[in-house]
Amino acid sequence: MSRNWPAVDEIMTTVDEFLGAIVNRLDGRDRYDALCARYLLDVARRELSGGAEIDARELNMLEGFLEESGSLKELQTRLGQSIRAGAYDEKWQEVFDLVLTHVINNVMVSRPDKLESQHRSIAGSTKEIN
Amino acid sequence: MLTKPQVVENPALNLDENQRNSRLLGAVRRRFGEKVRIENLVSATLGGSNRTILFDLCEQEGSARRLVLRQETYAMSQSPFLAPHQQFRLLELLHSGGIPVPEPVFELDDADGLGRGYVVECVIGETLPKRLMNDSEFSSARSRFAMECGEILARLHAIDLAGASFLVNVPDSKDPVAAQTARYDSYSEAYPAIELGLRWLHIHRPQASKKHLLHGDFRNGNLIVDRRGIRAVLDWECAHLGDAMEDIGWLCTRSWRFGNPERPVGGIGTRDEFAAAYHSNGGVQIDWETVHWWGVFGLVRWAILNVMQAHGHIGGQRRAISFAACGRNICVIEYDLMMTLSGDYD
Repeated sequence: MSRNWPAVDEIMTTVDEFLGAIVNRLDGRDRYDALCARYLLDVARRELSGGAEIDARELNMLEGFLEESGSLKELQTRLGQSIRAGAYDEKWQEVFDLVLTHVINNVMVSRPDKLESQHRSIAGSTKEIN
Repeated sequence: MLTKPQVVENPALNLDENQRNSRLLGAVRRRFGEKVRIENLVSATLGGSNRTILFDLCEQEGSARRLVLRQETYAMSQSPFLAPHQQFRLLELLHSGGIPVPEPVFELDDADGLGRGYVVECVIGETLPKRLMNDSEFSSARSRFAMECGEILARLHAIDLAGASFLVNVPDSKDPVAAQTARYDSYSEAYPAIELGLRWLHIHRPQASKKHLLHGDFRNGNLIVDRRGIRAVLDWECAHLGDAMEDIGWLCTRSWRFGNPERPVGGIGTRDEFAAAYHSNGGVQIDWETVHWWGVFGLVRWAILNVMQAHGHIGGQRRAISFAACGRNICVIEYDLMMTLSGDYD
């Protein structure tokens, strides 16, 4: 038997099934925490399957907009600093569209069900926490 | 200059359950006599700033008084929360002024060994938004929800500020946008949507208005409701002085509609219901354009509060799976913010 078996996705599914089995036997804070755990597993699964591609797309988009290079966090920091300094006040719609795309990319990983239909390019469902 | 959040040591947070219960018993015996007992201790959810423990104070056979210990858990510099002694003082002011709040019982002191916090009377009712929005038990309460919110906020906003002068120096009382920006900067994180929101707030800022006592977190989820209606307003740790429209904007912020966006007042009521009750109870004239500005402010602030919770988790000061989830919730709030700025959401 391979030491790499079960695969990561299967491991996550197994843990999620376990949490799903116990969550209705819990109450109060334990129940809420178990629901948070299931939500985070969902996020992790989507991040593993599409996160790297989203990051690469986003890096390319930021480098083009800022005409600079750097890590994703560096470019996001520079963009934020420029927005705060008012550098894009006259190009508001342009920077707005860029930031909206960035946010949609993140929501696709965290809660794709929260996106309006025009912003959903990948199907996904998540478990609600309530 | 950037001020990094500093951990404030609070050994009381590391007590095990037995130690904590023993110290709680000591605290109540110091105040109510050596014969009292505590029973039926229940640890409620871990709140944004407090740990909540419910217990019965049994003074004699057959006589029990349900109380609530609120123990401070967010002990960092740059905290957006009032210190517990300020919260307690405010609760005394509000309770004596007829605002529906849990009756303050006593404040912890050093001899209690439980850190900072206080004890209040327990108010029986429901706080979970989805239950309030959906359970048939609350159908009558729902029909009055927005009106009761309007009545309570009108009465709160009419309170004489002389009794709340200790809130003058709270950062949010001085400049709420600057207060959020300072907190956000202290986490050294890059969120372009938060920056865009802060910039929009700066550009479109309304004129300064007369200051009122504000709850600062008045929303579905912080209200105890039973089948008759709202019984108490909880969680006063964000109270400050400011524009009355701020409380209304926060109440109607999309995040607090819990998936029922067509009902802006907590996912339950309408703006018209709220406004009629607010005005008929002496509230100031509502300017909905300014309320919208405060709604945008609310989304920026809520996003930054989630950054704070994730920061506390990642940094190890406040490890909790719910705070880890907050980190991945930030983009959802940012999405609501962007859609509100674009006019797609109201």
